[in-house]
Amino acid sequence: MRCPDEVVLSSYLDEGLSAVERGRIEQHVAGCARCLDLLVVAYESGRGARKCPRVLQNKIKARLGLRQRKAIPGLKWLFASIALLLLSFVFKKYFLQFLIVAAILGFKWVMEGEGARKVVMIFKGMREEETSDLPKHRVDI
Amino acid sequence: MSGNIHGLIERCIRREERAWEEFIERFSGLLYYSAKKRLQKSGMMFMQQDVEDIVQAVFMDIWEKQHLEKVKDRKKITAWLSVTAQNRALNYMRQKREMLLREEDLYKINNLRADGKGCIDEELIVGLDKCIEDFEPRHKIVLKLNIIYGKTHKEIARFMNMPMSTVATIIARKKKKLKFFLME
Repeated sequence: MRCPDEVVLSSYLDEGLSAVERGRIEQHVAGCARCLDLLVVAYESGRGARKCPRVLQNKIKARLGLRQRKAIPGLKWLFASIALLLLSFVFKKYFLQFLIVAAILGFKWVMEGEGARKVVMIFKGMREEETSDLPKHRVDI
Repeated sequence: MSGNIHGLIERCIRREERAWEEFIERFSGLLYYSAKKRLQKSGMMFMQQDVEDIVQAVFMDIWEKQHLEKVKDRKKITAWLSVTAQNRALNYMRQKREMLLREEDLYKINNLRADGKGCIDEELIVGLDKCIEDFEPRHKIVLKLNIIYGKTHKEIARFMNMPMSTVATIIARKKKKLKFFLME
């Protein structure tokens, strides 16, 4: 028996499938390691949030001709940093502690910016190139 | 949530730009995970760029060929998306392998060896298949999920849409049979 198409196979994970349809798919899946494996990964992929790099999302949007939104660096860190800085003047007893935490959050805000991320990626790439034994030429299909 | 997805898909079919942005943001993670997992399981060495190419290709296909219209139950699109991404990953690696073989580039082939990560023990599958040949299809799937994929009773129950007690009973009975079979 041929493997069912994507729509039929994936419908197995839907609860609304009739017993007859379910049985038909089971008949095939029980003997087809490939289809069972596809279903297992599909099941696992639906559990919990899965992340995709923002850069990739933007690439896809660009290819589809959609407008891209620039990634906003985590402004919450900036606000938290400013708040802590102000608090350090209010609670003078803990001035230094507040100041240190404010500096850490400020640093985090800077590092979350697009520019800083690029610098980190360049360094990572350089390090990987030194240590990696991956093939150097990629074959485009 | 599912109602939202249904509405989102309908809007995507009508080609609303905003809906497509949301669709990409919501499901790109799922496609990324599925494609990567499939490549890992295929046992071939791959790069981040390969996964990205596959995810992009799937979205392009859905966009250009209006694949969303094919999905019957639009509330439950995640399984279909995942299976589509996995099939695309398999085709991608097949094409890549063929291309390398055509080029007779042995260096590259050597670098495409399996690293074993995420692979399933094929000997185990073959052995188990022989032992459970006469079992009902449903029972076969339950046993495979438990023995080969290491899924818990709860996970299998959710996967196969059956009560957990039934799963437990099937596993206990069939494992007993398996033990008897192996001892023979």
